[in-house]
Amino acid sequence: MTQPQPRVSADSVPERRLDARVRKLPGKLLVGGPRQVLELEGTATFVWNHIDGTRTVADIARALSAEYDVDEATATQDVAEFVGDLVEVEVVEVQASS
Amino acid sequence: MESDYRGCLDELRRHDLLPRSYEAVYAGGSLVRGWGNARSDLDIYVIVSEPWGGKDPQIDTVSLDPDSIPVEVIYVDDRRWDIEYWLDSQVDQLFAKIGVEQFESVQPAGKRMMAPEVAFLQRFAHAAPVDKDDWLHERRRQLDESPLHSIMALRALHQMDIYTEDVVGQLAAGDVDSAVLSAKLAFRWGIEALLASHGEFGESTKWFARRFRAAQPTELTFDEYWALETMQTFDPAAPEKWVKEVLRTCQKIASEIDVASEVNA
Repeated sequence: MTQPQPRVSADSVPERRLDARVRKLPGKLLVGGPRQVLELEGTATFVWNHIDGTRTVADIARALSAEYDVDEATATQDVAEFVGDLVEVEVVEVQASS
Repeated sequence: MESDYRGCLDELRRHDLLPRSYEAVYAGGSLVRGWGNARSDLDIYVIVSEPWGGKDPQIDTVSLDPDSIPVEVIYVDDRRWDIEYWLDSQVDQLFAKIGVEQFESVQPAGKRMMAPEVAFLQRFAHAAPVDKDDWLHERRRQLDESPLHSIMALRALHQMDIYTEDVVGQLAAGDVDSAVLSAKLAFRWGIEALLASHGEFGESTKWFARRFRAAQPTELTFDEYWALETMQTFDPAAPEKWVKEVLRTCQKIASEIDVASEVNA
């Protein structure tokens, strides 16, 4: 049974699940949960690599905005949405920033 | 170094352990690599076309046809020699397990290998020819063209994932002691994957420190590896912390080693 997941916001702190399976292939990363595998490339890989259990979604968005040509508000929205996808696939968990 | 082992042939003849016809003879293992000591065995491989007809050899089991490798044991100047007799057709089958077509198989190719097979492949890189060198050179060329290291890395990651799942389940059940032991196994395979991706695969953890220094992986320093291997940060009052540190390191390794570099080269 799937547990209801908290909504992902700018101050959410995502953390990779310890049992998320990862494989690096040329130019992409495969990230697998218990039921589904995601293929990450480009900015998605960037976000995944910045998820460390201490950075907030806003922190990651700021780093993304600095690295790529995207404004911070859009980056925050995109990161939150993507982290929500990762939570749904059960490779990431989130907690509100303390 | 190689010429040091040419004399093995006479010793094999003296003990009546050299068949009339053979494809090649070579030496391998820690001694040949320069990692041995006074108590190390010498591993000799005799490649044959017809099964070895020794009277009462020891038997290693492999997942090949036939599924056994005869091993004769002798002592020369107080040193133990293990002489393995592999059929050339068994080597063909073993090499087929590390072909590019196996790389995309659903079942990890390396999973179908038994310990003597992994050891056989591992010893190739540093083997010293004893006789009929062409066979060894040609087989080395075939290995160089195979995705051997990628397959061995994937095999190790697969094992790492299995133990990681165990850890997570055991932690969830409050069985922390078992989680610590499973984390050690996950770490063993995580390091194996890391080393394999840098060409230093193997079957035994006893050479991890040597293999790590030889591989010089950029993804993890020796000190970081050694701190976890020797459980320097393990706190008996809070074992979960060490367990999670181990699993995070395993995940970092999986995120950073390119397991398909040889296939796409």
